Amino acid sequence: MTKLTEKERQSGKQYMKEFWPPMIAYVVVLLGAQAILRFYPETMWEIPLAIAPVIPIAFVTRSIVRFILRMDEFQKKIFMETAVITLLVIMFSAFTYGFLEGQGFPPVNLIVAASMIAPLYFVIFFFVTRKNNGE
Amino acid sequence: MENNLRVLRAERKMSQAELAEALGVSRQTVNTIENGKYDPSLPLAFSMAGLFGKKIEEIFFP
Repeated sequence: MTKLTEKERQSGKQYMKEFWPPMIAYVVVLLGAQAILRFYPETMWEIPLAIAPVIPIAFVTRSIVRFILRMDEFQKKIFMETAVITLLVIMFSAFTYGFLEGQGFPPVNLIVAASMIAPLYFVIFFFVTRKNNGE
Repeated sequence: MENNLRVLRAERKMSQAELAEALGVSRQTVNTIENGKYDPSLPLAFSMAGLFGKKIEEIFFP
C-alpha cells in the first residue's frame, strides 16, 4: 500500500469532513422530499421539493473540486487525462445511443446515465495510472 | 528527461516518502520523476534544486 505524506493525509481528512455531511444531508433531503411529495402530490412546493436534493449535492461537488485543487501536479495530470478520456467516452456513447434511439431504442433516464460516470471514471483512472507509472 | 534524483536522495539517506514530504508532493510523484516517467514543472524542479543545493541542470539532463 502506498504510504501517504502528511499533506495527503490532511487533504484526505479535510475531504471526508467536507464530503460526508452534505452526502448524508442529500439522503435525508431526498427521502424527506419524496415522502412529502407522495403524501401531498398537489402541493405548491412540488418543483422546489423535487429539486431540493441538488442543494446538498452542490456542497458535495464543492468538496470534490476542493480536493482536486489540493492535488499535486502529477496527481492533477492523472486526473485531467482521466477526466478528458471519460468525457470523450461519454460523448461517444451518448452520440451512439442517440442514433440508436432514433431507430426505436428506449430512451435512457439522465440520472441513470449520470450514475454511470463514476464507475467509468474509476475504470479509466486505473488504466491511466498504470500508463503514467510505466507499468 | 533523465535525472539523478535517486542518487542525490540516496546520498542524503532520504526515503521517497521523506523527499515527497519535504517537497509537498505525493510519494507517487517522486517515484515517477525518479523513474523518468514524469518531468516536473519548473517550480517543482527549482524546489528540488534548492533542497539538494544544486542547479537544475545538475539534477536534470536531456
